[in-house]
Amino acid sequence: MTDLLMIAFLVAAFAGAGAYVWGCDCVTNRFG
Amino acid sequence: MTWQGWLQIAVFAALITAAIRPLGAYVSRIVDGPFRVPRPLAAFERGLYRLAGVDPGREQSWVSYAIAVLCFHFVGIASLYVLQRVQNVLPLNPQQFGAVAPDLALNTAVSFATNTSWQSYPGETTLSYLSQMAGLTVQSFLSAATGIAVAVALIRGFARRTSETIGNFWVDLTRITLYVLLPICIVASLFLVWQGVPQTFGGYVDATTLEGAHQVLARGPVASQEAVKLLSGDGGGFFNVNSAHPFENPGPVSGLVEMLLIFLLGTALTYTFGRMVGDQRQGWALLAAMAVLFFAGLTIVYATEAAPSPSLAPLAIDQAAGPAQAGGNMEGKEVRFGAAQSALFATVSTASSDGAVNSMHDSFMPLSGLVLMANMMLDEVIIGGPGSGLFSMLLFVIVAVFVAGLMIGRTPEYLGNKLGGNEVKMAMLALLVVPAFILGLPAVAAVLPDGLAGLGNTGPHGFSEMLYAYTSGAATNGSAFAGLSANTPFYNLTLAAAMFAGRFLVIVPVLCIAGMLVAKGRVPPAMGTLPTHGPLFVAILVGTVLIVGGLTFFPALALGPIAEHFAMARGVLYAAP
Repeated sequence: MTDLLMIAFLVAAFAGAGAYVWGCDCVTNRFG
Repeated sequence: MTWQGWLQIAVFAALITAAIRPLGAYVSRIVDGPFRVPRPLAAFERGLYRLAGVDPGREQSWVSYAIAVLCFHFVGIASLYVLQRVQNVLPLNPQQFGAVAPDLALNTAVSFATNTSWQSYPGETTLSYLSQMAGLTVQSFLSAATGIAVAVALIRGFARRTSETIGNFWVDLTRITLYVLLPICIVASLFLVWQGVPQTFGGYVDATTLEGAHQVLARGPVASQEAVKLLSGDGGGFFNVNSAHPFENPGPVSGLVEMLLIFLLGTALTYTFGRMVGDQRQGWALLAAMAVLFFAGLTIVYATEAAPSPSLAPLAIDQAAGPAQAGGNMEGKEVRFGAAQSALFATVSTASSDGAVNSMHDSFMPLSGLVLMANMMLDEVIIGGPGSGLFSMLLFVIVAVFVAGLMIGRTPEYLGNKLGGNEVKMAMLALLVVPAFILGLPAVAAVLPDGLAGLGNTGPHGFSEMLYAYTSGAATNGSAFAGLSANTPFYNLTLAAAMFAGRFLVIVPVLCIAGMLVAKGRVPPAMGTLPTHGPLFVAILVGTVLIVGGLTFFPALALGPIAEHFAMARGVLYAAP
């Protein structure tokens, strides 16, 4: 159970980082 | 301070300066050509690409490059996590250590994949040889190669014109690992073995001391991990006390070489930068700004640590330098290193993002502690880690050029690139992520029972312990102030978050800037163009680093080391918690 929580923590962190890439691309391309 | 101490510092500075040009030029040839790879190695490299399905001739946009970095490290962190969780059923575990606890395994996996190497555990009583070698050491190589790859991608952004790509992450990663990191580490490992560092799969040794007491001597494949620990800017030691342990750092000569390894790539990359952008003076200017900040900090730390501790003065303890002792504040320091090499090592380690220690920073004087924290808070721009120091300094360059442009009423330019609003926005985003975590997380820890439970001291020193830990994590340094019991779910998870953010949330905007710059055309220098290779620009850059980077943290430092300094001067001591 705790392992699943840790993996979920990791997946959420990388999903957030992926969204951050998308956000940076949006900000610089669409509003630049 | 003694002349012997300054001589050590001068020898260190001379040796590292001598290495900058040849190594910087070599790295430039590896990542930018021309470099003729020996035939067997070239075949091996091609085999790796074929195995991974990578087309080495195909370059990537900044988004593809960033996604590749994230995917690669997701796999790295997940596999290191699993390795620690099942180490008890895997080979090369002569001490039969059990599985690492989930929160500690996650913290350690994130720590080593982000080039931080914060360690909430004592290595010699927690991790098997397999976990140390196939887990931590591998991530040390790969995280350093990633840092250099990202810096090279940013340099390409400055150097290339009207392109859409910033390189191929997989090719950069492979070539930097194979041709830069591995050869240096092999030589360094052999040197350390010669100096007395163990390299063995044999188990721990039961020994009887001269007094007849029983003692277990931990050992293992230390030298191979030690070399990359230093060169990679990682700093995660095989043993709990890191380079203060005689099996990691046997004496002053190995200590000198370890410090050189820490600074080797960070300094050389400034030369690589100058070479790749076609103006060597630009690289020297960055190095000069780094050197000014480094020697200012080092002078404060050495002067403070070489002076006697005022708290011990009433006890009539002899703290003067003489033939029998190095003198100064020797609490938490190894006698074989003394105040000078301890001060130099601590400054090198915190300035460089390495985080290795040969003395306990918790026992340094408050002013020294302040400098060590400030080195990390300045976003590791004082040499910094391999690659990360250079790209962090280039972020400050963008801000400095922008501020200078505002002052003279011109559009900011750097190396013929007009810097627009988006480049400055991304630079500020990258520069604000780290302070958000350095300042936000200690604030949370300071009001939660779980945060306060780990403190080893009360008063301002206790606050410094928390501040140092999150600073070390978010700045991807990894050194420990000591005193803080950080192996708890609260600290393991919050520090993992700080390390993750301090690494990847900085790398993404850096690559974004590279992607924007690479698409632009070059603007020829004009009458009003600010020269960025002279002393004036170096002064502007140092000022920007200190004002933008430093003032952010002044209130927090006032609550910790500054308050402790004045309390110590008045003889105020704080009770243990």
